[in-house]
Amino acid sequence: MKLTRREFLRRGGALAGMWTGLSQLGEPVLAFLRTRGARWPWYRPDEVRITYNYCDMCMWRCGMLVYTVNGRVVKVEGNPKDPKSRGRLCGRGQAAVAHLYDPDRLRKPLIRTGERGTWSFREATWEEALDRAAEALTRLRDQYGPESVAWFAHTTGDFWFGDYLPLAFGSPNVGKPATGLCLTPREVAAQLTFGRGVGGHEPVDWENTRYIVLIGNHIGENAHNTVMQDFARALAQGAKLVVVDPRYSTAAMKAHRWLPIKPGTDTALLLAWMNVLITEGLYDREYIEKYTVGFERLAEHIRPFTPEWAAPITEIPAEVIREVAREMAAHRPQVVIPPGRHVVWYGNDTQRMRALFILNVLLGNVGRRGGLYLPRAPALDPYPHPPFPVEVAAGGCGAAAVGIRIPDTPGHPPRADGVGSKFATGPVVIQELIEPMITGQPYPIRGLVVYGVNLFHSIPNVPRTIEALKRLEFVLAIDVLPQEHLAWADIVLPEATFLERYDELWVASHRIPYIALREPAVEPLPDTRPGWWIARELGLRLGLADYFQWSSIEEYLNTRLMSVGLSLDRLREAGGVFTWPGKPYLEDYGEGETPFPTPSGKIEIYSEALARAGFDPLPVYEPVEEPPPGYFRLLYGRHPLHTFGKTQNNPWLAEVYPENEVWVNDEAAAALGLKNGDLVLLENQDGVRSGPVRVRATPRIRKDAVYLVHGFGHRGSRLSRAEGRGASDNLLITRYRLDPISGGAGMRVNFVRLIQEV
Amino acid sequence: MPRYGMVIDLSRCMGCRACMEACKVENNTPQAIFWMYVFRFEEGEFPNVRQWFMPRPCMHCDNAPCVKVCPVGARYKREDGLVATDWERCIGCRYCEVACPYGVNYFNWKRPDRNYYLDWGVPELRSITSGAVPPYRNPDLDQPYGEEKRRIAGGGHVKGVIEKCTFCVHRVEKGKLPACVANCPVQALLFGDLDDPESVVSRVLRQKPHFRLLEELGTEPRVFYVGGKPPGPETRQIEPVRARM
Repeated sequence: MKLTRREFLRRGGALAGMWTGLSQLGEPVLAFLRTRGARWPWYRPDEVRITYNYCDMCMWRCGMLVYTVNGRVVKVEGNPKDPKSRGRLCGRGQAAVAHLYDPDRLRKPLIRTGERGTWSFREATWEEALDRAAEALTRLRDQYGPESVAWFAHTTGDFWFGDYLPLAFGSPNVGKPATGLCLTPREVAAQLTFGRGVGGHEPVDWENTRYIVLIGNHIGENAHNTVMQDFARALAQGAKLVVVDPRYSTAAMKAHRWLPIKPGTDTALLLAWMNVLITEGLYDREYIEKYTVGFERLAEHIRPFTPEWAAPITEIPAEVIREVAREMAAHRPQVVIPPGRHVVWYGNDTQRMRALFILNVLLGNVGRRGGLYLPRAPALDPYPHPPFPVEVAAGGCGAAAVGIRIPDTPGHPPRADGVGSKFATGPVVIQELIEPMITGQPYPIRGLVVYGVNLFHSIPNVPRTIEALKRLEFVLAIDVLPQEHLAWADIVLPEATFLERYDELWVASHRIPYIALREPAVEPLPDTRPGWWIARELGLRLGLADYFQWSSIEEYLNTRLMSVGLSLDRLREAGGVFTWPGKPYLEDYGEGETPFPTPSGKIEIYSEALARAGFDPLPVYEPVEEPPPGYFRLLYGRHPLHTFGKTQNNPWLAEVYPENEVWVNDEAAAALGLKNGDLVLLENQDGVRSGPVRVRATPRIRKDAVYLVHGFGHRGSRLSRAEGRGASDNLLITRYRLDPISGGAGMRVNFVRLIQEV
Repeated sequence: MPRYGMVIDLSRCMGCRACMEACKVENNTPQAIFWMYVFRFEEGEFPNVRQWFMPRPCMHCDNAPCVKVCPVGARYKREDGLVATDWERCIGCRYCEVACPYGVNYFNWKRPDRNYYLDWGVPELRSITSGAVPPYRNPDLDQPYGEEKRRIAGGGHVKGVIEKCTFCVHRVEKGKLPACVANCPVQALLFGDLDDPESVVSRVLRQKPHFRLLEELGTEPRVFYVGGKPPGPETRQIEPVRARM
């Protein structure tokens, strides 16, 4: 009998109250009833469970509450106790539910049956897949040494596959994309200048600042939750904003001045600002005297870099440069030039970041209210384990202390990324570990373990990466989604999502140092496993049992928590987050105690370390190559609803922003005969072509550049919603300029032309 | 009885669309249905260019044309000012959709389980997902609300009926803020009792010049915009409205 909805509802009324019994009927019956608007609640109130987590939709890691009913996650909310989310989540965080239930997720361990580069796998048991992987890794270690295996890792589990297992295994070749492809120049510049890194959560004292200068820092498109919250509050409190960017970004729309700078000339602008501050005596004299070394040399150095010198370079009028410098000075020390995050632009980025930091210093704002505060991390002991055979700074957002000294372990193989020859210092840079896979220089890398890193969307020069993959003897990939690079793996292990697993504690360096808990909200989907479990099982099979003396993750976490008098239960009672007091300002440091652990104990404006290593000890501007006629400089950035190349398949996020478009200046587009919405192909200077992408003709960008949101244009993936949508910026970034100081891969040195599809 | 209203500060909004996702998560709206939508505009020529965003929920008008045209009384105005849809009573005539000048009504053309991004019921998908069909279902939506005990929250998501923003009645009745307001990272969205002079909305409206959308139509919207201006003839919409059915 066919039942109409209304007819059903009429009858359903009589059934109200019977839901308890009905809920035992099982899912298919209930689903049937629900779709017909059944009246009885589909859950029992006591079935609603809340668990604590920190978000992994991007690496900002906001604390969240996860609501589950009957073993299913129904929604996530910001954890009000968390210093990052403060009860709010960005769009990506909210869409975590759709990430968890993405039907494209990897479901079974896979073992290659056909050729590399094709999706030819058979399903395997965990036992078999782990045994095989361990066998292959053991063989490489025995035959060529542990350094012959590189480990690439990103997202929270990179602790297991970037910081723990590879070091126990003995490989110094551990790469995280957050270093050479993102933060490295900034962290190295900060280390050189302040003796301390910036850290993952940029320590900007937003709440007290009165004047903000953003250099290509796309807040609002970079939807880092806390930054958006703080930034908006600062502006609402009346802080002035200057945005320096070739593109009228979301941040620029809030600015009282937008300086549409010529791409690649930011250092010239920074030098000119220093020139004005010093020649007009507007800098913080007392601060400079008390906390810094090398100011006199800087004053000498910047003399020629007048606003009139910078104007034709930057295409910003000299009087505007001068006015902004004076406005900055008028607000000091409550003025800040935030360091930004993705800073690998032109290959001279450490110098630019040094200039940016020194400008902050001239304004006397470091460690002062309204400037850059001094973050602090909670001191938590690691789980006791034997010393690692290698000690290496893999870096990452909260990059470990790295000086100009290269942290090689005596008696063990050096890093293969060319530190000390190709570039001077810093954490391992991931993109330079590709070369040794091809050339065998300085020594061959023959195996790769890749955890949560999309090899074709994060590392520039995709043809080179493919060449490397062809030569590798063994590739193990651990991931959640079937991204395109998995087609090159020999073994694929499906990981559980962050909502289904415990993980290492999130130990945050922050104004308020804190730790946050991640606990599983639901059981992992069948045949997926948490990263910690995979790492441990692999570790045991690799003969590293000494490093995995714990048998459960609860035991591991409880042991770590014990060192600060906590436990998992107590952390739960505290609301999933535990905080400590910080020391954000200079006044929090006593006499004889310096927050700047440089060799001089002061902020090093003039860097002896750089001078000794043969680099410019004070920041210099060097021009970058211009686009050839008919070409535009390729710029890229973020969409607030997408994280890199990993969210394009998320149903909720793809629904709102399914594909990127290429921003072209409206007049430049008209000159090419293109209008808004036209489909074009992008071809770069090396003849590499993107897939078709729509034109967004807009006055919000300069005529010499085009812009793409990063992470689209998946090709050859098994991501049903992301595949073939939009254009991939990374595909078009076939070349990069290596920063000789930090090893950062300057990526804004590629040019594209637009080819109209016929 | 409070008189609920919303204030949207355009000077704060950064167009991140966390509100759209928050609504999606809280109210489980099916694919292509956006109770909250963020419009994006630009004006001017390089380099004197301007860009701005305008979130648009239901205006919960005091003089709501949708209420007047509903032939079955499914669309009604609650005492607290919320314009609600009793989805059990809706016959899907779509008069409200036509009458509303703000385009906030969405018609369920398909069965929602066929429209939650994927048809999770198909056997092929079930085999892939091991039966793990996403709930996309907030338990709080499954109760009748208000003194009238009418089923308005969640919009029903039933084929053949209309749905729209409820101001998150199920949260508001528990003293919580609507999901879009609670999640807005930049606090551009504010919510409260317009009759309470101490409420955040009343305070902001006292302090700042404000406008309502299409005020000249006399719909008396309960959503107020501050820190910006309504789109005018010089305003260009940056992208077409997405996924509108």
